[in-house]
Amino acid sequence: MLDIQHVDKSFGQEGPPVLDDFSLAVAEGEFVSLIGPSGCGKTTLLRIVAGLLTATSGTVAVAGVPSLGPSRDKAVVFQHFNLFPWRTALANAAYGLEIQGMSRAEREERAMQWLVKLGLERYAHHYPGEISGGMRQRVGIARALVIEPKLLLMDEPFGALDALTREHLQGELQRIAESTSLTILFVTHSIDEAVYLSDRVIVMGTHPGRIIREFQVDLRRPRYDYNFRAEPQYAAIRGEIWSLLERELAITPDEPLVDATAGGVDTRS
Amino acid sequence: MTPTPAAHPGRSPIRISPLHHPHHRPRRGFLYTGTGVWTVRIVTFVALIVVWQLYASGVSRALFAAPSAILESIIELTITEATLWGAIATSMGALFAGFGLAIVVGVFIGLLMGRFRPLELVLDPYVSFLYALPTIALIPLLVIWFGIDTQLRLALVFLAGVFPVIINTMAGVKNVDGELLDVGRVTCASERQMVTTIVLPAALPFIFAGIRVALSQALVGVIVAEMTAIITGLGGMIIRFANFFQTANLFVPILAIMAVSVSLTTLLKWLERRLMPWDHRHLEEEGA
Repeated sequence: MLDIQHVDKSFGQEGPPVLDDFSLAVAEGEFVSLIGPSGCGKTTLLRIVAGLLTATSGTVAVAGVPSLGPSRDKAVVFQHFNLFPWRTALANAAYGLEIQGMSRAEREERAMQWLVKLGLERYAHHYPGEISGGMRQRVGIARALVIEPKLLLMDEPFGALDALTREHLQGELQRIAESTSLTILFVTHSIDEAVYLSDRVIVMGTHPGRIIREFQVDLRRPRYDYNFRAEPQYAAIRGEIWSLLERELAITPDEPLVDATAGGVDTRS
Repeated sequence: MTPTPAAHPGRSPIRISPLHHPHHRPRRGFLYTGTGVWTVRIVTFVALIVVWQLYASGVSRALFAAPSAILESIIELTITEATLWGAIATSMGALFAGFGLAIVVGVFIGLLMGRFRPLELVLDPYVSFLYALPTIALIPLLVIWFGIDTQLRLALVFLAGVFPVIINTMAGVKNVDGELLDVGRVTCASERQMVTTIVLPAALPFIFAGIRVALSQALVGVIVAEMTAIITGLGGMIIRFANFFQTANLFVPILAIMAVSVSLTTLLKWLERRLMPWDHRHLEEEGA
């Protein structure tokens, strides 16, 4: 479904490489997480796949078609929700369909279906400033899914939420992922979240951003209805990822973050 | 002052001073209630009028006007002779048309300058310099070009209003949150859709700030032109009464200008709340 081949990225002419020869293939319906320390380029990679940034070299293909920019088979859920404050939840969720030129009645009906699925029907006519962070991100998810993308890109979508809301939304995301054949690329800082949600966890290192190791997670699905944390495999993978990341963090404490030195282009990964 | 635990070691150290008590609400006096505020305002206003009246009774009517004389003038100019209404209509006549034009043109140019860097580079010096120039300095030139009729009013209001609108619109357009623009980009929005669905709504608070500045500039421009060149409308009224030392009458157009200015500002605020309900509700929530 998603095929990333030898992607390099550096910001500016002389900038240090943020991503070096990054290749990754994601199968249809697969849930893949990217995890790594700040500055490992995971958000940069997501933005390249989304079409918001261009790779310095290398190719990205979605469903066999070269992906050269934003396209309607991809949707993004942002870390800071990025809802339009002047639109109600419903109008925010319907945004993608509005851009595609769908009639108001039809797009609002479809957006409403997603809001209902995400438990937001009572808040459809509220503005983002009037609802909680968790609800805002549900609207963000509805806005992404309403255009029925093949590939869902999620950039630390639950990073700005409190722990309880976060866990709740993780469960909901699993339900959605199961009910569709959606392929998901998920960027996160949380090992727990990555293992809980993913079929595969890609651990990235810094200077330059690259894949250090990947882990297949075979824990039984769905994972929200049993204590997956009690499974030996969970503890094993979690421990290994932690020791890899600890080593990465130990190498870099005094060096500036790659992303932060690249002209302030991308400091959020 | 409440004694602090440290100053009185004999007392229980965990006693919380009433000021820091979680359920403490600062006691607010009479001045913080609605009736309190209005009582104070009305009492001071009446006192002011009384002092004014007493002082004015000892001064020549040509130099100073008593409140009672001003009230007579108000009745005369609004009811018996009713010449004030015509003056207001004259002054405001071209204001709405010129101002509407200034907003439409200003938003359009500001938008283009904010979105296309080359255009900004070319136009910015002109816009900045013309914005810095008080429009009233152009009045004689405009009289030569447009005469003293409606065209002059239109040109004056337009020139006073268009530059603040351009500058603020441009600032708003350049200030749009890049993360919101990302949403448009990943949704494959066209440039026109980016502008109508993201850039303009995001810049709306800035545009309104520009319109507020433009409004006061336009009013100044119209009144000054009426006082110096056209000698009609409210400005003309002021000059004519002043020339004949009709001091009490003189206050009436001044009060009328005040009233017009306050009404237009209120209208603008109402419009702002109508067009930006999200902003308003957000503020209310924070205030609660």
